[in-house]
Amino acid sequence: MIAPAILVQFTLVLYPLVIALISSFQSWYMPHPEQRHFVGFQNYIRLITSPEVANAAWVTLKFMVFSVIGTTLLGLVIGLLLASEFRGVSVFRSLLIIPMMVTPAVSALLWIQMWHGSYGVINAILGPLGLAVEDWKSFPTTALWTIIIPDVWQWTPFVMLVVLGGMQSLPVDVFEAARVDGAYGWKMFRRITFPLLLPFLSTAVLFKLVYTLRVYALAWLITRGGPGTSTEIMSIKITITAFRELQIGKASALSFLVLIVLIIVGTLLYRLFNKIRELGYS
Amino acid sequence: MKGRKFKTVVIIFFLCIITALFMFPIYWFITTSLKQTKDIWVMPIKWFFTPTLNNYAEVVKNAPLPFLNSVIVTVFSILISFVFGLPCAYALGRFSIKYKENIAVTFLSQFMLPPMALIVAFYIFFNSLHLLGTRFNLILAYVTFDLPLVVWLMKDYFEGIPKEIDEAALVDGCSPFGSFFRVSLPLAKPGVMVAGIMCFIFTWNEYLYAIILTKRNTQTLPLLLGLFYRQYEVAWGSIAALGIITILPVVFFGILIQRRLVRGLTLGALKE
Repeated sequence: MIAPAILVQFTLVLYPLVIALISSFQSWYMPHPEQRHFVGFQNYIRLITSPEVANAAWVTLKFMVFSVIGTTLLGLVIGLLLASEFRGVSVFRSLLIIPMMVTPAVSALLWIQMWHGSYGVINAILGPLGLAVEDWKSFPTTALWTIIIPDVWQWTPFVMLVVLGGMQSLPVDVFEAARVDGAYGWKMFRRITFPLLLPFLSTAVLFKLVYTLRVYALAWLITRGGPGTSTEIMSIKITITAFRELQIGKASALSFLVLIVLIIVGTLLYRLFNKIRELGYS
Repeated sequence: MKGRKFKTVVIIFFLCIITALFMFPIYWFITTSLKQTKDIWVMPIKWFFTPTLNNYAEVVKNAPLPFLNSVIVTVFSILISFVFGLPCAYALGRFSIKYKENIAVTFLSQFMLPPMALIVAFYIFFNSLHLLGTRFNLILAYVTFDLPLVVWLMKDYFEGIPKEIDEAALVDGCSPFGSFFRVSLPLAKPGVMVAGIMCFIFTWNEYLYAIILTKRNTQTLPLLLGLFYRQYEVAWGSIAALGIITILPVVFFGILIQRRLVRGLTLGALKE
């Protein structure tokens, strides 16, 4: 009963990956497939020493770090607020998960309209406060934020739901005992709530990282990697290399570099988070 | 008691502000979809306007094919994933099989692979099979993350159904397939629904595979949105209408399973 599923999965993923691995050692310019030839590690060496790839890695890292920090902080606060019980709280809970469902392409367009320099609603609101920016998307300093903020808007509900679920699964008597001992407000949060929530938060962060690596439509539609290459995250870099520069061999090599880095970083992070989870339970 | 009541009022106050902020982008898009073009590109912004459904009419005229493509691709990739994934999940959750955990974790890791690491490989693969631009190659690409999702989520679900029920069926002379179809599967209906909706959300919203692997007549709804934006940069009313139509089914299904969403998105790492 297992074999068919494994077979399907392996032919669809492993086999293409093997072909791509072979082509990653080739020079392969799409319009001239007949000139395809082996070049050894040349693709890899060029990529590792390329400032463009370093830039893409750096932009991706910045995007991930800010996006994860933003979603985690906001999600934690909102999740804690939602964890209180009162009539009608479920309305808030249902409404606040909606951004998470929004198709990334739709999310991109919705924010493009709002960021618009002359007619966007954001400038219309910030203008009277003297905070309007001529065109948010076309300044290197603000461009990255025009994709980070939509991403945070979309994924805060995820962290929020995880925190809410965590709070609901924690035993009530722990909080009551702490209250009897005189823990309130900030002290309660630091000493009791936060340590108990830590395993949930670390799971949320881990999955947020996984989902952040999937981001493509949002960034591509809003900034197209620009201005210059200031918002060129790795997924955009790979597609540009493959389908605009048409360097299939080079793009395959870049995909494998990404895979290798992900496997190494992923394993390390997974171990780290498991430690945090154990800490939280002990 | 008085202190607690005050605290609740403060919490509700803050939640109202937060909800308003988070809902605003969607509210704004909905109003755009109901505006005439002359009401969209004006300064100062028009908060009040005469609503029109023209944009929706326009979109309904233009979008049937991408809509149909999206439905076909989503439905078939989920179906294929269920046909192969459910028996696999059942076996992994029920029987003692060698390397069971390793197999399960392998499926999990396949789901976590980011599309950017696979897209070039898929392009080469489907190109060599002359499948590029068809709906079929997109369906297969989507199966690569829907299938692991089904296996992993449903394995979890089958493990939660008491073993004795199948054992009784097996003793009564049912084959493993028989007990799967007649006993476990009917009991697992709620789990199947959740797994199906999770797959739906990921598949319906996908963009990267779709843009590379489809041609003009096989493109899906999210692609049409990007195209609309590039071609008619001022027709924001239609763009917004199309956007709202695109997200409606996802939001509907998402809210339907909101209690189980966390478990789905963290792949069972957190129970609700």
